[in-house]
Amino acid sequence: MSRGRRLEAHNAAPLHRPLLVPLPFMSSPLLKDTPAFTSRRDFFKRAGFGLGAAAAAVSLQACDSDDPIDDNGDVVTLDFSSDFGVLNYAYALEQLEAGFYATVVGDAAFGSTFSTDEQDIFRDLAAHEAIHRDFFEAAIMGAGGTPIPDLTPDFSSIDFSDRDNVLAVSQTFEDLGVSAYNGAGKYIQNDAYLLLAGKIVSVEARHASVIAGLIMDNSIAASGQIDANGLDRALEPSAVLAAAGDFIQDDIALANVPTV
Amino acid sequence: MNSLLSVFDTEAAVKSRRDALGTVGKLGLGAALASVPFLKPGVARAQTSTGDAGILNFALTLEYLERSFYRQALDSGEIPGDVRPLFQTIYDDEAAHVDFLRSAIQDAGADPVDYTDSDFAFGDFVTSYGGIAALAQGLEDTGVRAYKGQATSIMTPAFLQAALQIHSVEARHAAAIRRLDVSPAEQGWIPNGQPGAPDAIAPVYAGEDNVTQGGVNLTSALSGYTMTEITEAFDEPLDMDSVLAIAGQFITGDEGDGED
Repeated sequence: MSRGRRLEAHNAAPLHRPLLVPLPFMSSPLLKDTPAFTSRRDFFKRAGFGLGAAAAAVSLQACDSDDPIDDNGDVVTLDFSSDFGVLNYAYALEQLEAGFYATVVGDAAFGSTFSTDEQDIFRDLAAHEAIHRDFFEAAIMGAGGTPIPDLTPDFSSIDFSDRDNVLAVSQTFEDLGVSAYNGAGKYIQNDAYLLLAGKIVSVEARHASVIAGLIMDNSIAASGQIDANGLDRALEPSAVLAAAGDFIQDDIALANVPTV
Repeated sequence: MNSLLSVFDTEAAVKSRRDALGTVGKLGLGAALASVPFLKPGVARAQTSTGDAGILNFALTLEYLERSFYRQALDSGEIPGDVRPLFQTIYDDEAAHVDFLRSAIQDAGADPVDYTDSDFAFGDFVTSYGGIAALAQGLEDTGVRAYKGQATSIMTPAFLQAALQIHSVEARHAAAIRRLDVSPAEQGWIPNGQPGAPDAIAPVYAGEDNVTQGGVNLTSALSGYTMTEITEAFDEPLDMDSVLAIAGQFITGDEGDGED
């Protein structure tokens, strides 16, 4: 990928972010030696950054010639040696989903592309994913970690006025999210975070099931998603990021993913 | 043993989930608890009732129950033809879960619990479509909570991952059942504490109205979302005793007695 060339996101709505006040989420001695983050601090309004500019505004690691680089020349690295890695991994995926559904419901043709029932469903999905996204950002900060920056989506391949296209992408994202959480659970060191991931993955699976049912009557999953043992797919982080990468402009690197 | 289920009015024309359960009234959970073989004191199943094997046997018990329920539901003749494929799919998954968990427990060097179809009875829940849909919803939503409640206790990474992979499939089941056009049709996700749930399945939803995640009340920490959306975005765990109190109502035979 050539440095400096920015892809225009197709029909991308501004990724509006509500003002967040960091609160002391579960300050865990497992994650850091310094005292838990307890003070309020000013928090810039993400919505004003627009697409792509946000990454440059947040300090990131210096890159060298071996690092995967995004259009801004910045590296987003998920370091699994601490739970901040897997939490940021989840945060990245929720950002993608939240951005997608915000674009779906914000599309000018939304009201005519989908039935009333489907509109209600997509509005719920948009709310849930945005809640998940905001939750992870706040939880990471509250625990003293650094959330990854706002990622820049690439939805240029999606026709948001095409019901079948939107449903198919939705299914892809939801199934990918389920597969990602299922494959990441074993890497979570803190039980409290494992429980939180567990609380979210079943909601993603509910989403996936509902979308599957809209695509085909009596379907609860895409073909091949549930195996012969009745088990939902579980994917390793590298596989998930490879699939999600089609829709994210930033390059995301993994570090220290254990061999379990 | 079946005094709970005998309160059903067998002649009632059941058209809805609510109708099906309106006649049942409160569950006699204390009696049900005493009848669950899993909790019988002195049962010499030490090898199967502790550690990961114990948790998997707990899961296996629930899968036997679900498999039996769906088999009886499909045999009842009450399921409309247009949704029968969904119930068949779910039955196939539960049957696969039984086989998978039995193999996993044996691979762990332990004995899987052994139930047969006739060890479970569902009374009038399987004599009408409304009853079937109502109990299916209750069992699936319970199953999700049961797996979630045990995840952090599973020590072996491979077993944790498998449990997560079954857990998300149960959530797909739950969402699809909830969406069935049987009054009242639900969304695939659980709003607040599932208001309006009939007394008989209300215990399934205890605590689902929780808005505190990671120690923080999300209705005050995050802006722009309703309480309903926040409660929908997270599913809650349920402890083993509470799950068995619900499931135990339907276990009428002894585990491992080899009787069909």
